Amino acid sequence: MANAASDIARVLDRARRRQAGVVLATAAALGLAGALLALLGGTALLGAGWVSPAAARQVALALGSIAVVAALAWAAVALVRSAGTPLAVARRVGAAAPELRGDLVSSVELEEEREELRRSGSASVALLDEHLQRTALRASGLDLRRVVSTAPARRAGVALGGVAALHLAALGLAPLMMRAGWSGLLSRGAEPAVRRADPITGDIELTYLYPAYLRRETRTVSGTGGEISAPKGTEVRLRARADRDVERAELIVESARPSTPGPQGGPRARGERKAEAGQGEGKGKGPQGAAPGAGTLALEVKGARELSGRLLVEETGTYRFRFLKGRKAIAEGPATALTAEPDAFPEVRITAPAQEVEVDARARVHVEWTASDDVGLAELTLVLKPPAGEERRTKLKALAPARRASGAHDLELAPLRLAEGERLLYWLEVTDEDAVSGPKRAASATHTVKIFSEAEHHRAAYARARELWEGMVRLLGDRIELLSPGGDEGPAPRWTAELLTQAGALDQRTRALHVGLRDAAQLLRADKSSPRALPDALANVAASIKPLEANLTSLRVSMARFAQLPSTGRSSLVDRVAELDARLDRELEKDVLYLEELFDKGSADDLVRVAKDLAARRRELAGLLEEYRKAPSEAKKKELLAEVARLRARMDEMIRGMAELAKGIGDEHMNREALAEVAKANDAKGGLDEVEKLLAKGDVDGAMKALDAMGDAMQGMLAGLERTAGTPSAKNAALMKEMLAFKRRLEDVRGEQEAVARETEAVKGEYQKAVAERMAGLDEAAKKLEALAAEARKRLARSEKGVGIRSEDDFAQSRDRLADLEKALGAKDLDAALESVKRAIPFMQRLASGLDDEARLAERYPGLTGGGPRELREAQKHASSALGPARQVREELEKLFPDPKSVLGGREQEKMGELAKRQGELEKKAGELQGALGELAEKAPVFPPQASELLGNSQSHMQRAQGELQGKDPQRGLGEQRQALDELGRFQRGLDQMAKNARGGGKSGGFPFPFGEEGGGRQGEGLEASREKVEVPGADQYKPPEEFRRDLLEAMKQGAPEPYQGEVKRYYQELVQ
Amino acid sequence: MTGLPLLAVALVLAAGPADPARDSPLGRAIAALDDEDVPTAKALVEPELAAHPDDPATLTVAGVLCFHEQRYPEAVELLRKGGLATGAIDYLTLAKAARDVTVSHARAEGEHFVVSYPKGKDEVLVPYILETLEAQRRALQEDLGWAAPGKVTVEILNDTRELARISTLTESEIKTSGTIALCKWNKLMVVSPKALLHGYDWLDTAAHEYTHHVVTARTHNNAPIWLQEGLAKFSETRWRGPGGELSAWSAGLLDEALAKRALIPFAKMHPSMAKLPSQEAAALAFAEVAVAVEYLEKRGGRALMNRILDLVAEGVDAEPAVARALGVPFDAFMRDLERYMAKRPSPGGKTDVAAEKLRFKGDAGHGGAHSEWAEIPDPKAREYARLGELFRARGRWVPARVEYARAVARVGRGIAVLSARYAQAALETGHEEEAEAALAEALKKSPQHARLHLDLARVHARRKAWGPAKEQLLAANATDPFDPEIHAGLATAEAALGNAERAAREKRFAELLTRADEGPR
Repeated sequence: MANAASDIARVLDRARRRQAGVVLATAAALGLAGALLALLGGTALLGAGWVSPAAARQVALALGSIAVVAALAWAAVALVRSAGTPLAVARRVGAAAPELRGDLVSSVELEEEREELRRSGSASVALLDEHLQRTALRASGLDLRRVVSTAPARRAGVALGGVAALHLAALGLAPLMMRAGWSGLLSRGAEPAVRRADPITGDIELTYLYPAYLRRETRTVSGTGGEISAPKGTEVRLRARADRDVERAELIVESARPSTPGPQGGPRARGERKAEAGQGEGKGKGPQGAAPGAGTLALEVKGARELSGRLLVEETGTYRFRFLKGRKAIAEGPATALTAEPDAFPEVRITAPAQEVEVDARARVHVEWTASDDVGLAELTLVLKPPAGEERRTKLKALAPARRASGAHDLELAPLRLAEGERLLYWLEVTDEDAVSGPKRAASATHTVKIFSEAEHHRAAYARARELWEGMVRLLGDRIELLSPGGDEGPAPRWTAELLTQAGALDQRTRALHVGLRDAAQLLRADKSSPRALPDALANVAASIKPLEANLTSLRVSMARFAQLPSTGRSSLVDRVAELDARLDRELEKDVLYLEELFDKGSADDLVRVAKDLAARRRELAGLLEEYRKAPSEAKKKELLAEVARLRARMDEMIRGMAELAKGIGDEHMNREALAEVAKANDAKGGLDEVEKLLAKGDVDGAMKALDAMGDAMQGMLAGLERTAGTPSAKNAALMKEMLAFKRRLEDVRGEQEAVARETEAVKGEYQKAVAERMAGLDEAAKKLEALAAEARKRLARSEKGVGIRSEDDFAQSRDRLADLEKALGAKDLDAALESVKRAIPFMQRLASGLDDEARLAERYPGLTGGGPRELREAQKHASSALGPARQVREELEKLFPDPKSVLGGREQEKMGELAKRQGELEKKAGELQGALGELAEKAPVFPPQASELLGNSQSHMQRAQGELQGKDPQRGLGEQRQALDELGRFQRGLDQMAKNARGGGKSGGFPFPFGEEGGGRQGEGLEASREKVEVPGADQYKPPEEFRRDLLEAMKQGAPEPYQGEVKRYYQELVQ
Repeated sequence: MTGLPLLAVALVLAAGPADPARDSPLGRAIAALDDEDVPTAKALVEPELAAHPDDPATLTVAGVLCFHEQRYPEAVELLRKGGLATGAIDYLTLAKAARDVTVSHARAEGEHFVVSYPKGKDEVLVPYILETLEAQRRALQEDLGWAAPGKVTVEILNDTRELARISTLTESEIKTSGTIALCKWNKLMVVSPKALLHGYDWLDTAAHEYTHHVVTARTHNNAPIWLQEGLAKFSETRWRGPGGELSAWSAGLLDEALAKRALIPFAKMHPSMAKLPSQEAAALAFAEVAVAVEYLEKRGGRALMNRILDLVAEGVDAEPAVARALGVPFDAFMRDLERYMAKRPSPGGKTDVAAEKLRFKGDAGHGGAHSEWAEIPDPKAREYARLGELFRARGRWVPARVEYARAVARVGRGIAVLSARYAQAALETGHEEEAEAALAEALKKSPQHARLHLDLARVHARRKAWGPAKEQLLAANATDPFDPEIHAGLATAEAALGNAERAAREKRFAELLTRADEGPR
């Protein structure tokens, strides 16, 4: 029955082996999976840089190891439990095959006890054999694959596969991160900073021999720890004393290669500098961060202990001493730091002008710069990058040996022949003197010079204005649609609450429009490059619309109120609104048409500019061609072809622009002409193709001929465009004609007014003469007046103690005017004396009143004011007492001036009558001019509303002058005449400017540009500040003409005319308040 | 008409004293060609050519004959082989030019006419020109008792440059005088209306040229220019009516010239109307001669005219022929004519002389699309019109109508471009009657303004009045046939009127024009 037992054993052995395999495979797979999972986690953490690399690495490796160890432990336990003994195997198999479980286990147990049983006879051996045989038979039929399943191993394999897949996915998704993670995981970590060892040398002396370009003295350092820090390329000589006798010694350099220094790499390309600097500084890569190469340098040994040698500093790292006996190292010192100090890149900056400037094509740009280097600067170069062609480099300066330098360079633009709107890029480059690694180059930021293009600026300005104009067209359309959809024959609108609301919304839009127009006008005026006529026109339009809108808005509010109440006044209100609506529509229509024509005119002028620019470029090309013909060279030919290409590009651009401009012109005449001229521009471009073709063939003469022909074509085009731009429409021509006629009428009126004023002046001369005679022999009176004035001043001076912040200005004014009074009396200038005292008295009054207030306040609230109540009261009394003598002086002086009627003779009085008549006629003419102005303004918004005011004022002054002349007062009459002339003059200057703008346009007189009156107008009302450069005069620079001053003084002596006395009083009251 | 006698002289000089004499077959052939009697010339030349295939004179005359038969490649070949100079007219150059211009033409044949036209959108002209010429042929046969045998060729040309190339006129002469078509060398040459900004009365023009063809044959080419042009002008509308129509513009020109005593004498019309210094002069000349024929018609009807033509055909000069036919001296006739002209009813009102001038595309001198607005005489009206245009361009029809109406109120409805726009705005805002009234008024002054007809057709179409709509569309087509809307409208109208075949054709034309990529119309 041994066979049966061995059969069972064989089965069990097979099961054991199989079980062991399954366990081991399972453990291996699970262990590996766990380890991989841990590593994957670690890799991810390391790659992402979320945790400390060392910690992540350690944790990941630890977890991985734990996984492996755990798997192994489990395998061991499982093997022992399930495959350690036959009985264990039998039990394992029995567990999987329950039908055999008992038999198999009992078979194994009984077989082990077989001898004992046989000996003891406690059981039948035969029965045992029989049992064994049956069991063996059944066991041999066992399917071990079923009994010992490989499922655990497979599951473990799946787990492993899953983890591997996860890993691959991570690699695929974030390769860089995983790569970095793995790299961090697998690296052995930072090397120990320094291998710790005991020092074996002492008294280390280092002598630094710097590279020549550094211009540094040789330096010796003794008693150091041996740490070396020197610029790259420095030779370091070492001397040290060994702590024992040595045969041989050497230096182990773990960074600086013992090689001959020399230039490494050529000059760096522009723009690389920053990137490299960033890398070097941020991540420690590049030469400084590279792993140091190991090297050995033999040291000279003298007297068994004195060591000497030298090394070249190239890269940062360490070095150590090593003693040798024969070949064997017997001692090694600690690693000592060796630092190669980096030679920084030089730096250069353009400090002026700004990053981008817009200048004229012939301007000189003043470029200021600063440059620096840690060691020494070598050379400064200016680099220009024109719109076409290659970079041009100009060496500006040799900077060596300076470490810092600054300066300026005038960049001449004229030779570059840049066209309007083109951009020139420029920057500075600087090199250092690094003779070890080669000179390093750095560049400044790139700056831009843009060539000023008037046309471009104009286009932008017109585009802005056009937007507003579009809004105006929309508004007009909406107004017609809402308020008069049936046109002139249609019914009047029926005012309902809804219609009023809608109309109110339109009024709001109208307000927004005129505000927008005014703002745009201001902005455009601020921009010197925008066309002058445009803001003037916009401002005029805004000013014309504004009052209509304001009236309509307020009337519609009234209508809305009346709509609720039965009112008798409603009908007239409706009529008034209808009238205003119609006026506003007419105004908008007029403005829309005029502005459109102004835009057309601007576009036509721009076309001319563009064409002129093209023609200029053609001439430049012809010049180049001529140069080339005289001295042909490949370089010149290249330059020539580049210029042709540039011109072609420019022409393309211009033709596009011209077509756009021409399309935008709405005027019927201009449009067709402009389109025809644009067609000629295309022909000219065809000529350029011919030039290029001939040039490529080398036919210079042919090219020149073609260029000449092109020049003729362009000249024709230019002439045509100029003609177009200068040809206004019939309406504009007529308007301009009327304006010029109006201007002539105004000049006539002004001329006549001047003549009347001259004659008035002659009469006034007579009067003055008579006054002067009367004044003679008034010395006594003058003295008396002087004494009074001195008294007034004295009393005023006594009030000074109480003068505080609030009253100091009044005090100063009073004091100064009284001083003027004294001076004038001293000089017997009674006119000036009267003026001074008249000016002094209001200030004196205000001072007295102010001091009184302060004194009362101080009396009521002591300590509240600066001074004490008593002091203030005293001051107030003095100030008040000064008024008495001052007033007396004024009265006395006024008495001295006689009534003109009593002074002038009969002939003069007759003349005055005649002059008054003529003045009256002039006033009538001024009224007619006013009417004519109104008619012109109805046709186009060429006049600001203040133009009418100027004429109106002038007319008023004429009227008053007539009155004064009738009253036989030549002084006041002349004063009014001069004011009338002044107003007329201001108006005329506006007309002169307008006529000038219109370019004196031949028969037609040119385009009726708007005229904004010259400087000094009110903001936003058409008369705005002049954009001309104004020199601010010093306080003492202004002196009115003596005559004018005298006239004013004389007029003032008469006091204000009756109708104006109230106004003058109010004026002073306002001043005082 | 002087080319062929010179040819004869040249050939005589070249060939020597014996041959070809005027009574020789070649001489007679030349005389026949001079009279544009191609069949006779052909009958004479063909035997000669067979007999003397290498004779330069025969080859040259045969070449000229081929040229008259529009067999241009053969003409070039024969003229080159013949090698003889052909007098004042260089037939070889003309034949070459005609060959080159027509080489890529398509051809369409009618019963009595062949149309040679540039491929593409000019196809839309073909059925209309054939119908017109057939109708004109019938009318002239009735009036003058003669119709051209065989088929007459009509060559449609892309532009005036082509006309200049294949004729003896310069482009400048063509544009200055407004000569847009010619009848010469046994063919009609008509410039396509696409060469003009707003087209022209191309159907009347074709009929006019065919009338020349008939009169030339009928009088053996003996009719002087005034009679030729008078008959042609008078009869150019016979295909669609009684003839004798004189546009308001022409009548106005005539009135002005009479008032200023600035009529153009008949003698100054020689050698060609195309040589007159301006379009206005040419139009005035046409008006004068047309009224002269009208007067003769009034005096003696067709019989009188045929009597005159018979006399002229017999070789009597036109002036004595008129005198004999009328029984009064020619000077008396002229005085009577002037009196008739003065009494003739005039359309009245101020004539817009520039309105009917031909505007050639690409000619800056004739202005672009905007230039016609400059013709509004009143500055204020022009301003309103401009405002209307601003609103129209922005689709704001209500304010556009208001502004156009203001312009119209100032200058009336006689300015075609303004009335057309006004009508358009009125239509867009639902004021159909206002639109119709404006258009009808404007058409009285500018009956050939295609836009007005089209707008009126729109009014009719809205009311589904297809008959009148068709009539207006055809009128528009007779001036500016390259507007797809005309053909689309005709397609709809014809369909509504039950003319399915025509409707399909017009639909095809509309599609053809819509997708035509031959540049702007």
